[in-house]
Amino acid sequence: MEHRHDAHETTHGTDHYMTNAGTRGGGHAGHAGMGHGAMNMAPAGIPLAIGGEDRDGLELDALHVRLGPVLAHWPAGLVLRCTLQGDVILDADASLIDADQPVAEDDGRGSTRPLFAARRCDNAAGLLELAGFNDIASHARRLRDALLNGDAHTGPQLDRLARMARRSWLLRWSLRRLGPVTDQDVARWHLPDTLRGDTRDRLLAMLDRAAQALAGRNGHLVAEQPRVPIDAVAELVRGWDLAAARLIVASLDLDMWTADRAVSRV
Amino acid sequence: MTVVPPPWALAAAGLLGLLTLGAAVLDGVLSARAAGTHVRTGLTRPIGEIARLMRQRRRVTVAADTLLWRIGGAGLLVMALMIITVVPLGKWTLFDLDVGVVWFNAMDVLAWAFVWLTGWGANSAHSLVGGYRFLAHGLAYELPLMFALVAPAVAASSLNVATIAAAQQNLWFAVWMPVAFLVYCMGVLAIAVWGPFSPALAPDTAGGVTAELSGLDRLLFLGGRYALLVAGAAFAVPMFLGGGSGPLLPAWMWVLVKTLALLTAFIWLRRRLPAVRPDLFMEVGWVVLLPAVLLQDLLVAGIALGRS
Repeated sequence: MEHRHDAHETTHGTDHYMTNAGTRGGGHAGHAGMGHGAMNMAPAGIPLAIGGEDRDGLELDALHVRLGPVLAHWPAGLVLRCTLQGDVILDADASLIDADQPVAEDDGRGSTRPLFAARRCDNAAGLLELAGFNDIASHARRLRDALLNGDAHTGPQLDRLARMARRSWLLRWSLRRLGPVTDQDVARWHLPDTLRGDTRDRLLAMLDRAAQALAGRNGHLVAEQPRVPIDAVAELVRGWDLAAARLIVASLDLDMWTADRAVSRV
Repeated sequence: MTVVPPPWALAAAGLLGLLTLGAAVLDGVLSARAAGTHVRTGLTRPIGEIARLMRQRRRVTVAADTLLWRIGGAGLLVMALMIITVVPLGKWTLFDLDVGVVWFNAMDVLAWAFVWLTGWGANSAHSLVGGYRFLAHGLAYELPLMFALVAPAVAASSLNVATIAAAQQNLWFAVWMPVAFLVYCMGVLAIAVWGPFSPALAPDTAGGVTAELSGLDRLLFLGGRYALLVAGAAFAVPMFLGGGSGPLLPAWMWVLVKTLALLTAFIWLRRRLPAVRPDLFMEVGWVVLLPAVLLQDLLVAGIALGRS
């Protein structure tokens, strides 16, 4: 018995497992009776990753990682089921938790102007934090709190924040060319036209919308902007690496789909 | 140069610990100021955090590579301790090594192993992505850092740290080889996974390498980062900032003052500079930094040749 086991391991055992790993590594359950060889297919009960088509020809294992529903600087309730190779998102599938729940009446979109502006500042703070611009992100967060508290004189502060963001060449270098949205994309997925351009354009547009809301210029704009369809989110992150994908999602300036007036406390 | 007996290593470690705590407190104060909260919260937070992490139970992940995980987590602190053994404090040193510069280089390369192992050990996708982000940064910063260390050694015709410090009697190396100095500072930020080099610990991967670290392991890793900033600043003093030379104060005091000044700059820079994604930095490292620092080396070698 011992001998047979050894022979199995040395002659075609390795080969067998290699093929298995290459084609259907998840099917380890059928080998449960094979002793430690089969155990290795699923260390600690986790099936080994399966290799997949790789755009760089590296034959990396495909890893299934779920982003959300709760993550720092992430739209609460959004779940992205990603297939990663290395840290490149090969494929993504977006969904919402509690999608069947009715959206709260006062969801921060059609409500008061300061609340609308505060939501934009919160989203901008998240994006800036993800990009590592801690100081400008702190400014955005303080402004958000000031808007929520109903402080006066938030307009000049918002202008200052927008100026800082526009002038920073490091910010431009870091965010340009990420997740470009063309006119065709806007038409195809019925996106709000403020999402046109790259991630930096969208950040500036976000702050611009906040400023317009405070100045009372975009009453019609607020209500009539279409929501970003959930499938477009998955479409936009496909093919980018994890860091870029997080920045792109944050740049979409999403409103809460599910939670009512929840504000990130990070 | 007086080599002090080995028990003094404990005092050196204590000094490193104090400066490390000081660095954490300074970072806390600057963060509190930027967030608009009371400065006192910034002062007390590092202390509270140490107490909390020492009491916290370790989080366990499925199929973690515990041994390598722990080695990686504690490694940064060990690196910092090893680096300061060759830094002279005035006229005292723990270890008057003939090849002190090479010693520093050997220690800084260990960061590749320790940071990556910390990412690997947890068996978590986010941690591993963080670990590889660090390696990608490493590919871009390590060669420029090595060539930056070459410049002072060539100018002083020695790899001994004390000799290099003594060669700056008239003019600090930081003044006439600024490129090497700046690239060295960048390298220190990089091995400490600090500021522009923090994508390995970024919030977009739930903390990257630190995503699953808890309790004592987390304390050692985060403390190790501050300790590396301290050690890097301390090593810059004999290499670029004239060692203990200066008016009025004794030499050892000057070393401390210069170390503190550079350390403060490092801590302050974190809030000023954005995180640089590895794919962007790769271009900077190879197209800008490496040629720049090689030209610097060429210039320094030419001047050194002309002098002799």
